[in-house]
Amino acid sequence: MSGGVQLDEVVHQRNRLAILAVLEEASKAEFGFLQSTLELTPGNLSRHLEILENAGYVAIEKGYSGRRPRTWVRITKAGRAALRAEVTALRTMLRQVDDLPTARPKARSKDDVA
Amino acid sequence: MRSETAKDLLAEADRARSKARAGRRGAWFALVVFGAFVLAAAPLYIAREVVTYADGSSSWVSGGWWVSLYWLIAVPLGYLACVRYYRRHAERTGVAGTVWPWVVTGLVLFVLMALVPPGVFEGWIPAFAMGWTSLPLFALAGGFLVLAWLERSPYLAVFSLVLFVLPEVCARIYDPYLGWRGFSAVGFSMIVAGIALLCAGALAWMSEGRAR
Repeated sequence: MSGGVQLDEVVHQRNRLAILAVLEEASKAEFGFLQSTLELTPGNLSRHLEILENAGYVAIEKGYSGRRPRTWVRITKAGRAALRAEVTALRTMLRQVDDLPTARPKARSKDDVA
Repeated sequence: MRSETAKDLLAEADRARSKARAGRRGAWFALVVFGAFVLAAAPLYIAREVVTYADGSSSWVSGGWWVSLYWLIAVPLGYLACVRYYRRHAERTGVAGTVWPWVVTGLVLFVLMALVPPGVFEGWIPAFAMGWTSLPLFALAGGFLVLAWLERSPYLAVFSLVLFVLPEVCARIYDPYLGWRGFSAVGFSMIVAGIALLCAGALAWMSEGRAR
């Protein structure tokens, strides 16, 4: 929790948030596309996808395109909800920071008075 | 958490989202396919007769069963070609978008416009039985508006609205000023709309290529 705003630790991570953002925009994305778009190593991407899959936020389908093995990833309903909640939480945090009263300027010392 | 971090996370998500959007766009193909079909339909609108109205003005009237047959084949074929293209595009780029709402809207509008008469005064005779007017263009424009929403493309949305008003604008220009012998205002609309669709398709192709 940060500043009264609830954050989901699964989604509150730069790469996982970006993965969900890509998947929300597309009906499905291939492993290679996610890797090149997010500039991640295969191992790193696999780890993030595993975390998201275990949380029920993405569904992974393995298949073939001709003889080429392909892994397609889709966002689930829970994943969409988690992404929206995270984006709302981040925006709320930004608003809270903007609403903070600005610090009062220090009282001027005698020396400053002409 | 610092506000810069929240801002960075949101910016990163937006960047990822726009890359996915750019990757899945493929409207250029749909614009070119339907542009070619619309342009190819123009010769079918060669007028059969001149109708003189009560106020003394006259216009060329076109249409016939062959026009109906053409659209009944061309529209489903066009959507089929586009669905196949979007599938291949997804295989190639690794990112897929949903196009079914566009296809369903386009086909439903097409069927509705085939069954609804083009004008109240002409009686309740279905458009397909009257040899069509500019109705296929309205059905295409409605479909493209849905595709614009699916692809989050303001450019395509504006173009769809232009396509909606194009037949009316063409009719207003054609009959009093041009009125080529043996050619109807609908045929003229088809030529203008076909060229507009092809040009929009070429522009979309260049812009989608640049974005990728």
